[in-house]
Amino acid sequence: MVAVPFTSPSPTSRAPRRLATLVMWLAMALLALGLLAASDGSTHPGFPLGEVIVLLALATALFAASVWAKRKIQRDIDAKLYRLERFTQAFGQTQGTLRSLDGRIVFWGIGAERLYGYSEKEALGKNALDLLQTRCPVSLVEINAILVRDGEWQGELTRRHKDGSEIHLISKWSLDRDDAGEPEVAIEISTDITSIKLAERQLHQTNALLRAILETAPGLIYAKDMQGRLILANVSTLDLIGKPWSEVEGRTDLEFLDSKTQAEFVMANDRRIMDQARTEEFEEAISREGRHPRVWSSTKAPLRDADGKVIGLVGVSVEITERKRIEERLQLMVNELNHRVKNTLATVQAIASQTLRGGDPIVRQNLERRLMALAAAHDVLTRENWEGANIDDVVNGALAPFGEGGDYRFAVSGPSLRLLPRAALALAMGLHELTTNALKYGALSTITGQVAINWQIIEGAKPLLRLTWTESGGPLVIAPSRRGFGVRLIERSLAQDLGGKASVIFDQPAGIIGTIEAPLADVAVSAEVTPFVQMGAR
Amino acid sequence: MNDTHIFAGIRVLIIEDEALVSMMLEEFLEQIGCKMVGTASRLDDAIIKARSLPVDMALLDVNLAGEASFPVAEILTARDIPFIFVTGYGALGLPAEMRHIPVLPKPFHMAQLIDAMRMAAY
Repeated sequence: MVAVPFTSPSPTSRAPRRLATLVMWLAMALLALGLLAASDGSTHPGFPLGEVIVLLALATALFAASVWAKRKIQRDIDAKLYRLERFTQAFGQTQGTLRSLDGRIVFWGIGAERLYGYSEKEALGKNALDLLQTRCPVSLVEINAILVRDGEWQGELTRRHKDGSEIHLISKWSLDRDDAGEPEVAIEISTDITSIKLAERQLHQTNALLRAILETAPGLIYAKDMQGRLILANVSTLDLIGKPWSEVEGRTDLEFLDSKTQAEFVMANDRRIMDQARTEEFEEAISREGRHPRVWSSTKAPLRDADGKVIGLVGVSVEITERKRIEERLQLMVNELNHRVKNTLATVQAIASQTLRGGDPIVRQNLERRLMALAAAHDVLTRENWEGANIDDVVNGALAPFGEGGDYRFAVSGPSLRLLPRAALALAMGLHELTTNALKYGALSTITGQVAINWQIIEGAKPLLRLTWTESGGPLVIAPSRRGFGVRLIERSLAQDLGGKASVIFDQPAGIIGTIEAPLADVAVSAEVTPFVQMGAR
Repeated sequence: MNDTHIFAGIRVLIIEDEALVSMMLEEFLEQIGCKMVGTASRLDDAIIKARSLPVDMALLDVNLAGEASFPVAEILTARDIPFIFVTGYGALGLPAEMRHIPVLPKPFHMAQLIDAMRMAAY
């Protein structure tokens, strides 16, 4: 801003005032002298000196008076000029301009210069329409007609700054007429509303975007106030309710939902969101009377005003009825599959039982136990929908047939880890063989013997899972002359299934040491992988 | 099988659609001295036998060629005949009112069969 100093007009010279005073005194002196001379009439007859002096005095007084008057007029003019100058400056500050009716700029103030970027020199005499690339809502001819008719016109204009940027203005034009009453100039006062206009446009765009989202989103979108009254709902929401907006606006679920139970449940959820001011996701059942029950996954968040105060909630609900149905079917199929596998195992067991009838009961028992171990591992996986199994569950499941939980003979330790189904089955079978062997020949064949089962993750470029089975306190072990099926199952089958190494060492005098090592990536469920079946409520 | 004499001589009905499993059950039961009074592999046949045969205990497969055997369970319950479910499903596959019935999970070994029978008998 350019500060305009507010100074009083320079005072008129003091000289005329002194002169007037002097002349006044002179006139008074002459008057007194004249009167004195007149009273002494005998001195010069025929020449009335006294009268002459009086006349002279009057003339002098007249002169003094005129000097006074002139000085006053000058002061008035000065004051008016000053006011005019101040007004012009102020008018200029308001971004006011004057133009002739044909459009030529005849007055250009500092405000206009600041607004449009053109100096007075650049602007004066130019056509306002061309210079500022003015775009009016109606033609200048029409505006002029209105100006002449009504004396003023107001409207929104778009112009360009000297730098090319667009300026939005609200402009008021008034007509000034000359002494003869003929239209002379248009006085224009404009206010820059560019920022308001931009905000308005942005708001409009935001609204349009919001509307587009509301109407294209496949789910329900809605907002409610603190009392649970609907303040916004998209088409999908209205479809579900089955009523037009006019019938649901400002109403609560209790009023527009068919089922009062469902409505109360929904409103209780809503209240909790608003009371706790926290976003939540949950399932809601909303359906119309006589229609199939529909399940929705709703995400509701508190709605806040500009000060952050909770004033309601916004919610999005996506229908998951079909997903729930598929999940249930999938669960049924998993159950059915499990049933079939178990039946098949029972059948295999029956075949073996019949085949080996009259044979070695030990052989029969071994086979039976191995089938049981397989079935037990299968159980663990079924409980987890074949997504994987916790290593603790697999280990404890494999040991369960040989001792109640917490058996003092087993010391189990290791970090929590989820195994892939294949690894879980292989490990369960391997542990079964080791346990069976330990019961027959190893540490578990005595009362004092113990087994420590420990696993750990060996960090590295390719992390490894290492599980060790360490027997102690058992009888002196004797390495068998021939590796039995159990040991071969561990060393071959386990190693192959886990994509790693497995070994059984008959270590004297300590006992049997079994070691299983496999790349972690091949045996553990990766944390990033989402299980392909996500079952419903657990 | 020292403690199996408690079941010696009892009359057992086996309802199982898998012939081989049925045969194995028979063999197990024979070993502990039970008397087989009948077998059934279809629901209709099972219902008739459950209604009519003189039976002390029944082994009942939950799934009979795709049909649930619960009607048979109801008949046995009404006749106050103890029975166990033989199933590949866990106890969770059973309706709530039958959850108290002992379950023999497939596959099974002798000790599990005797445990389940003992639970049903008491």
